[in-house]
Parts: sequence; C-alpha cells; structure tokens
Amino acid sequence: MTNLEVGVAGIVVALVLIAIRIPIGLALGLVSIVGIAVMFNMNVAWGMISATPFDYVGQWELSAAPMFLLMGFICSSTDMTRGLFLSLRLYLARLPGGLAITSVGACAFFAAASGSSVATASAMSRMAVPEMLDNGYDRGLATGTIAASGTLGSLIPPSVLLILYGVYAQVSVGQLFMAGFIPGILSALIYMAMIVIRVKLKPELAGSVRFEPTAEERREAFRDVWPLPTLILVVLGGIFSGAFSPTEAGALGAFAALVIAAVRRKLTRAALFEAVSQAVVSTASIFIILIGSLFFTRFLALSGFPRAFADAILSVSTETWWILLAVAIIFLILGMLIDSIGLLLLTLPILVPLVNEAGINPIWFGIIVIKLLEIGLITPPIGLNVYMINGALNNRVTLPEIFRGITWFLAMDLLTLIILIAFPILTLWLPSLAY
Amino acid sequence: MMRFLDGIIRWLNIGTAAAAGLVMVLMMLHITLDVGVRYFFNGQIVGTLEWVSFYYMVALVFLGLGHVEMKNENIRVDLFAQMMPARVQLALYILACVLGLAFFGMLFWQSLSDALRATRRGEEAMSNFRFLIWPARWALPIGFAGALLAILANLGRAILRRQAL
Amino acid sequence: QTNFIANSFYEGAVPMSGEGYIRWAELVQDLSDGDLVPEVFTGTVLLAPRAALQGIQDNVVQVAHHAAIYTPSDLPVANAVQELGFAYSDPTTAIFAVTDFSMNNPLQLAEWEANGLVYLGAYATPAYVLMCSSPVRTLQEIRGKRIRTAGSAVSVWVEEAGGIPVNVPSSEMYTGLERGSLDCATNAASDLVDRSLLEVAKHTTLLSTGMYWSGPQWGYNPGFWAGLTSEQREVLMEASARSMARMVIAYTEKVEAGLQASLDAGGNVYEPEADLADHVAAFRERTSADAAEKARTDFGIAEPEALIGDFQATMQKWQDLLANVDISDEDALTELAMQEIFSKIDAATYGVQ
Ligand code: NA
Ligand code: NA
Repeated sequence: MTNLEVGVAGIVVALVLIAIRIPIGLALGLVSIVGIAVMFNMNVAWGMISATPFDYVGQWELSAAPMFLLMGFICSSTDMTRGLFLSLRLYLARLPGGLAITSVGACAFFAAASGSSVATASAMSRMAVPEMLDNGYDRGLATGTIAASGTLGSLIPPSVLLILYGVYAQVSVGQLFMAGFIPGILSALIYMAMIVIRVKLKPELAGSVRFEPTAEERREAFRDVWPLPTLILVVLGGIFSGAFSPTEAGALGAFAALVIAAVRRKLTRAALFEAVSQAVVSTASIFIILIGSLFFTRFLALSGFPRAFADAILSVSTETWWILLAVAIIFLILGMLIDSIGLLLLTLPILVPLVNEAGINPIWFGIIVIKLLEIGLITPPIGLNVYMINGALNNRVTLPEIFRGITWFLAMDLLTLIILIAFPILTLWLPSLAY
Repeated sequence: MMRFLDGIIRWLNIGTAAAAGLVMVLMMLHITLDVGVRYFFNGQIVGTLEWVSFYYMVALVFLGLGHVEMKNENIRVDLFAQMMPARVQLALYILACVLGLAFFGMLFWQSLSDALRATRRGEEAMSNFRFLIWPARWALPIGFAGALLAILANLGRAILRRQAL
Repeated sequence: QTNFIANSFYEGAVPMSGEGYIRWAELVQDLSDGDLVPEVFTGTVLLAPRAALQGIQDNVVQVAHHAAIYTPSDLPVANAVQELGFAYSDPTTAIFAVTDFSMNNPLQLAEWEANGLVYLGAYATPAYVLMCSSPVRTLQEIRGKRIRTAGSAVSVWVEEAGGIPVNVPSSEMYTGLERGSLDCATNAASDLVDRSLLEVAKHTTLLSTGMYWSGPQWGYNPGFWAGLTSEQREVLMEASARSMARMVIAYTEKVEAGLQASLDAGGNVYEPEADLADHVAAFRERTSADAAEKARTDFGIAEPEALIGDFQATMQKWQDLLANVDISDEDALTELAMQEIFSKIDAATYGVQ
C-alpha cells in the first residue's frame, strides 16, 4: 500500500469506528497511531505520542476555551438569563409570536456570554420552552425556536469552536470573534422575521397569549435585567476594544460572572460546584478529541492525503464557489453523523491546507464553516441541540415533532449562508475596522 | 470486592477531577489578577503565560480525563448503535473499552517515560527567565492512568450487567 | 531514490523556512539529480516548535530546524554560547561562524551526538531592534516601557535600562502594541512587514539587542544520516552551504525592506542617542565577560573559558574572512563556506557512529 492509500484507509476506518459508537477522540487517535506504524514504523508513532499532547494542550490561545466554558456554565447555574427574558417579553409581547421572538433574542444574548451552542440551547430550553407550551404555542415552533437559536452560541462570540478553528488555521481568535458577530446577529434577525411572517399568516401557531404583567412583575423584570448585558459589555467590549486578549476576556468574564452571581445572592456552593464540574468535564471531553485530532493531522499530513485532496478539488475548479460547495457537501453529509466539535476537528486537517492553497480568506471561511457546523447541530439524525432539548423537557415533545419544527429554521439558515457567501463584507467588516 | 474496587476507582477519579476544578478556578484568578495589575499599576505578574501554558492547562485537561471516562461523557455517536440488538450493543461497548485500554495504555506508557526522563534532566523551558516544567509532565501519566482505571471499572460493570453503558 | 521528511516550524515567509527548507529542497533535488527527494513541512503541522528535537531523535522527521532555546536542559552547550547573542549583530558572520564552531568544537559535537542529531548548518537572525509605538531613543524614554522580549539576556538588559520585560506569544505582539499592553517589541525589523508591525509600531530604534543562532538549521537523524552514501552527504553539505548564503542574504533584504516600508508608511527609524547606546554597550561588555561564568553556573559547563574562548575566536576568524567579501554575493559566500567548513569535513565519517 502507498502512504496515500493508507491515509484513505485510515479515514474510512475512523469513520466506521465513529459510527459504531467508539468515542471520537479515541477513534481518531488510535487510527493515527496504527496508520503511522504501518506507513513508517512504531518508533515514529511513539515519537508522535510523546511529542504531541503536552506541547499542544498548553497553547496560550487554547486556554481561552475552558475560561469561556466556565463563564457560560456559571451563567446558567446561577440563572442569569431570567430577568432579561422577562424584560424582553414585556417589550416584545405585542408582536406576532412575541414569545418565540423573545426566546430568539434571549438566546442571542446568552450566546454572547456563552462559548457553546449546546450550553445555550440547554439553558434556554428549561426556561423558554415550557413558557411557550403553556401559552398554547405550536410544539414544533416552540422547540424548533430554541434548538435553532441555540446554534447562535457558536457564531456570536465568544465561541469555543472559533477558538479551535483559530488555533488550527493560525488565525487571530480575536479577529474571528469580531467576524462572527454580524453573521450571528443576522441569523437571529432572520429567524425573528420568519417567525413574525409565519405567525401573521397562521396565528394559531402562537396560541392565544394573554400577557398582562403585574406591577410587581414589571419591577422584578427591570431589577434583574442587568447581569447579562453587563457581562457582555465586559467580555465583548474588552475584546472588541482591544483591551484584552481572548484568554484574558474569558478569565475576566468568568470572574465577573461570579461577582454578578454573588451580588444577586445566587452564588450558592451548589451552583458554583455545578458550574466548575461541568466546565471540567466539557474541557476534558473536548480536549481528548483535540488530541485525537492532532494525531490525525500528523497521520494525514504524513500520508500526503490533504495535498492530494486539495489537488483533486482544485483540479475541477479553483473558483471559491466550487470549493465552498465541496466543503458544504462534506459538512452536510458528515454533519448527519458527527457533532460539531468532532466534525470540526476531524475535517480541519484536510480543509486548512485546501483553503490556504486556494487563497480563500481564512477568517471568512471560518465563519462559513461554523455556520455549516451549526446547521449540523439541528439536522437529523444526529442533532445534538435537538437531543438536548428533548432530554431537558423529559420527552414532553417528541424528536420527530422537534425536527419538523426545525424545518423552517433550516431554510432560514440556508438563506443566511447564501447571504454570508454572497457578501463577505458582512463577515470581514468588523475585523477590518480593528486591524 | 468488585464494588469495593469500583468505589476506589470512582473516588480516585473524582479526586483528580476536583484538582482539575481547583486549577480552573486558580487559572481564572491568576489571569484576572494579572490584568488588574497591568491596568491599575502598570505592572505584571511575572510568569502568567508560563503558568497558564505549562501548568494550569495541562493539569486542567489531563486530570479531568478519568472522570470523563468514568461518567461516559466522551463524545460519541450513538445513533447506529441504538438501532442494534442489545447483545451487539454490548459487544460494541466492549470493543470500545478494549480499544480505549490500548489507546490510553500507550499514552500512559509513553507519557510516563517522558515524565521520568524530564524529571531526571530537570527539564526547563526558556523564557525571560528559567522555568522548571518537569513537574507538569506528571499530569499526563496520572490522567491517563485514571482513564485506564475508569475504563476497566466500566468494562467490569458492563460485563456483570450484560449491558452496554 | 531516497525520499525523506524535512520540517521547519516557521511559516514559509520566514527565511529559515522559505530559503532554508522550501528552496533548499529544490536545491537538494537538483544537486543530486533527483536522487535525494525531501518532502518539506513548514509550520506546526507535524511538530510543535518545542518538539522538533524529539522529532529528529525519534525519526518522525529525518531532518529539521530546531531552536535550542526551546530545550535549554537538553542542549546546555548550545544555550551557553547563545548567551553571547547580545554581543554580536552581524548575521553573515554569525551564520558561518556558528556552523564552523558547531561542526568542530568537541564539546558541542558531543552534545549533538548525545542528543541524537547530526548538525549540518546554522541559521542566524538579524540583530533584534526595538519597534515601538512611541519614540524610544534615550534612557529617559525607555523608562517604564513594556517591552516584549524573547530570551533572558535581553530581558535582564531591559530591566536594567528601566523598562518592563514582558513575555507574550509572538502571535500577540501586534495586538499588544496596538492596544497599549506593549510599548515595544524586540524582533528582527523584517517583522515590520511580515507581522505588519509597521501599522502599530511607528518608531523603530536601530539598537541591537542581540541575535539568535542556537541549534541546528538542519539537524539530521543519525540513523538516516548513517544510511546515506558519502556522495549523498556531500550533496547535503553543499545544499547547506548555499542555503545559508541565501538565508542570510534574504533576511538582510527583508530587514531593509521592512525599514523602508515603515518609512514609506510615515514611520520613523532612529539611531539610539548616546546614553542609550552606551548603556547597551556597557551591558554587552559585561555579558561577554560573564558568559563563561554563566556557562558554568547556569548550564553546568565544566571548562567554560575554553568553550567561550573557542566560540569568540571562531567569530573573529569569520569577521576577518568576510572582511573583503561582498556579503550580498550568494556564490562568493557559498564558495567561502565550502572552502572553510565543508571541504574540511570527511563525509565518510562525520556524524557516523
Ligand atoms: Na457564544
Ligand atoms: Na446533524
């Protein structure tokens, strides 16, 4: 077998192992070790094991990831979204589908204080979905709204996916964060517009909401509206103004979240324990995939596959649209199988050389990739956000109902994607202001 | 006996995970303090970069591994396995455990010998000052050993219950 | 035909990778008539910077660039002579002198052998200068400035001059200067263009704060090296000689282009005022005088005077050799390196255990 054939075989075996429920990091890592031993010898494989984990895990840019995870989990374990949700409700109650629009807005805010989509979906589903269901909302619309808006968590900064992409593609994480902002807001606005139009056309979707808040409820909403906006100001303000690096913003954000929780008297020992232990588990489970993926990168690079793949794609056409189409197809197929972090780390070893060779702007490409990955979070059969919501609601809404509710949001995602591809300026304008 | 061992492994892994949690909070405080000193006193805490890179991140990531294995929080794709009969699911789970033992076994072995070698040489990183890094190397074999033990415990439980975890 | 893997952790734009590996690979193929075929990896796809030495030892790659400052406890001899980096500022002298020293000094040769690599040529950065967001020409102006430094000697100097040495990753240099968490960076002036520093550091002071050369530009795996024929080894030596000439010429051009681009963009380039220049000169003399002592205490060298003395003598020898050579003439530099270094090496035995 030539090295290239070993590389192809390795990809196939890794996908098969992943499909039969072998943990993703393990599948990637083990295939790489065996593949390298086959291509060269076991010594080279031992060398890779020895040279990789310690030296890559400690990268300064990566250290932003656990900090943002911690911040997001502190926000959800201390119930930091409640006041904001209530206030948005007060303002948006009169719009058609006001409660769903409120949910999209609250998700966008939470996304700006959380590094991950699943955390966003899980935090908001507990609060918003029961509220919508109790008010007679269509079950698909209620759950679809949260599943889809949860995906804003990785597009609107901060975002663990963007950090991982930045480290892999050697692009500034701060610039990526800025680049994700407008596409994230655009996605949210398009969701909102779609909800308004659908409910206008078919009012029974939004049930019959009678919302007449008492004076006490109004006061409560205003008293507790400040935490999330304050935190977002610290974190995004700090990054966008250039005051902090992403790692510093993450640490400061987590610290600020603790202070805010303490001021609100929500910082119980249990809440702190929950946040820290969730952050530890998330960090370790992400990094084990990262280590597998780093092995896989070396294995594939040594096999020559990324170069051959890039040549094959570029030999058809070197036009950007063709490369994006090829990438989109890969993501939409694999996105049915693998969740976003696994998929990102599985494909970056192949895609980064392709993008470099084709001369595509890596920041713009990164945002497109994140949007594609986020679409994967809500497509059947593996839609992590969908399962998350299904679980959070104890099966009160069935999986097919949720997937049906998501169809409209998927259509909007494709629209957003086309807009982002057609107008790169939407992505690149903010980073260009700062640099 | 099985239950006793299982309990010990569980508590060992909870212990290292607790250490990882502590490190996470320390890292947050250290960076926050560094930023504060820079803004309010135009100074710096020497070595923040080195501490974060060589100690906090390494401890945080590797000491949490065993706990993740123990709780089966590894990211994996359940879809196709769920469509299989229970016996096939168990077989696949056992396969996953065996592969996991092989993988973490190799990582444990190599990182242990790296840690020993680094300790013997008193490994340092060069920065603006000299910085000892060999102690950080030990987080890897400890974390990988925790993962190995956790997989063994899970494997034992799965076989006893004749059911995939 | 012999295929092998070559690795350099710098991006292709940096001469160590561009001239030293990418163009070098073409040269190796040409010189060997297609018999030796390196596959080059640049950047950190294969190996992290700190892991290059181990990658060579473990035969993950057959030849690689390794910066010895990343592994001070493995390579004490190389790091001890790097301490003299503050005392020199001419990369052309350094690149050939360091090669000459590293392939002939018995202590240094023993260190390469003990660490499982065969040394076949040096790199040398241009002198690092100060690139700042506000003018730093005098001791008065350097006081309280936050300066990104890479290495211990320069950070000691910054402290003595009244500045604050800061260690951040080079990837954060730009943003640090822009947002004011850094006032200066010490790096090669080529970074004015390569890292776009000219946008945020409008004031460059041509004050040499040392240069880097530690570790092999081409470190070969001994097993791979032993398996080559003498003719193949000779080809690789000639490739080293010419590629070093190309690297140092390219780097010098890049520095000049960087300074020119900064001027064109409205920036300033200064010579340091007398007090600052004197302060550096005094410090430089002290570090040279202390180098032997430091080699003993920090790096555990048994006979440091002999080591440092040999290094300084080799540097002097190359200063003299280059005095009448056009240092922008690739062929002349190549020829000199072949004649003074590589023709004196026995390809049949060098590095073969
Ligand atoms: Na986010
Ligand atoms: Na999916």
